[in-house]
Amino acid sequence: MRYLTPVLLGMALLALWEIWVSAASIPVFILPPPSAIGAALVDNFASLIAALWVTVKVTAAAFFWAAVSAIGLAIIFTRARLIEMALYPYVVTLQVTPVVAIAPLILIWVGFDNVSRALVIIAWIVAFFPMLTNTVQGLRSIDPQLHDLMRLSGANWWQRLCYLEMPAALPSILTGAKISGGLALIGAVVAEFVAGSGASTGLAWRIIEAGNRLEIATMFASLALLSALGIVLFYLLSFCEWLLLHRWHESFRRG
Amino acid sequence: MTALALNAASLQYDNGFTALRDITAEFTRGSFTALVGPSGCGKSSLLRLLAGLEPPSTGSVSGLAQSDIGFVFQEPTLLAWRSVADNITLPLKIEGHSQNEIAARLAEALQLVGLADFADALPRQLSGGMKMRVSLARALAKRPPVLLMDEPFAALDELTRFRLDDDLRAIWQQQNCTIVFVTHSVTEAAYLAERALVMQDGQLKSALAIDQTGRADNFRSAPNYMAACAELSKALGHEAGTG
Repeated sequence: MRYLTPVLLGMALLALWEIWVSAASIPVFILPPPSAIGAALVDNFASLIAALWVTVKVTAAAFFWAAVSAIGLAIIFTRARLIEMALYPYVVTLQVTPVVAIAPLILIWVGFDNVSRALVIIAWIVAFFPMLTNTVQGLRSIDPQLHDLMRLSGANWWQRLCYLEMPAALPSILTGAKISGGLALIGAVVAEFVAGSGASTGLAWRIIEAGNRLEIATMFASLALLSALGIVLFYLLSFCEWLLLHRWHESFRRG
Repeated sequence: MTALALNAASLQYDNGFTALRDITAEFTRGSFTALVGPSGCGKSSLLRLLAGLEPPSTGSVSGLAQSDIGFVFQEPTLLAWRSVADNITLPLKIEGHSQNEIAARLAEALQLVGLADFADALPRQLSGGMKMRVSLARALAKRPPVLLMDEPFAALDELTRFRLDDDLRAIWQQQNCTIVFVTHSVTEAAYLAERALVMQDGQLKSALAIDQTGRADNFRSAPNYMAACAELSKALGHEAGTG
């Protein structure tokens, strides 16, 4: 029922859309029927998949670097209060400044010889912050008695990190990862929009290009692929979460 | 022979709160001492001082290396993602013992607390009393000469607590270790220990030796146990009752 009901609802809405478009004779360059979108997807399949792959690479790279840098910085923050106090305002500044406004600068600085690197950096800025705050939060909420236990066992900082801090913070890190995964995709799309045609070859650029040519069905097809990518990403990360936590974490306890 | 000693030790926290004032006490090797007092009297701070988790602000603590101390916390303090066996062996692993040594000590510790059948269970599958047993086993696996216990059974129901009290007495006799046991329960202190130190407002108020006659039988109904309870209650400022 959990899977069947949304599928049935989706199919009903698509059918309604198809009937309504043809009954009201809405022109295809305003709203194409689902059948036309499907046809556009099939016709441009090779080029759309190539574009999808470009976006996937940018998103994955941005997410990877966001995870590595956020976890690394979170560990430094929780070990050295002074570094946190010095750096935190700048991290927040980076987060609150709209990325669309910074993107042109980054494209000028790094985009001339390597556009994809500029795209990754822009998407990284968007994905980084939730990962950082969640990891810091996870590391901070470790029971102080567990730290005492590690001290009494004579654990060095590396043992403390591996045996206590990383596993204890894992639920928070994975929550951050789920948010950051979606944001990395949004960041990649924004970056492609700002980079514009010629520079970028991803799905977002295909949307702009198709829009310029009034190929609305192709626009919708690209959009559908982007949504599908976001959904896959979310469930992939949810699956990782389940894999790592279901044995022991309270959130997976059956009621 | 003295296992642990405090010499005019005081403890003041960074926020200015004075937890302990001028405490002098000795704990002879193989003894079982209970630290009794109301909440916030400094019992736990005293234990942290003995464990070397806090340095004394003034005075001195002569004790042991942290590797010689088994510490049992108020809560089970288990790592939820590690099995019972992996929780018990973690300190041994950190200390760098050999695989064989770790396996032998694990088997021994599980036996001592009666959890031999639960080595592979995860903490969330255990009851509160069993979790506390795991915590005790983890401390015992270090084979520590000194066992420091911070109200370990306070959160358990009374029957479970009685059983764990008996088990702890048996382990103490078998392992011949020095135990300092913090509790707010007068009856638990009188039942477990040979000596009770009464604390109030960060100071040692009095020391009471508990008459051990009648240990072989049901000590909970022994008249000297009742008398010790009454005396401890009085020392804590209660006129009657057994706390």
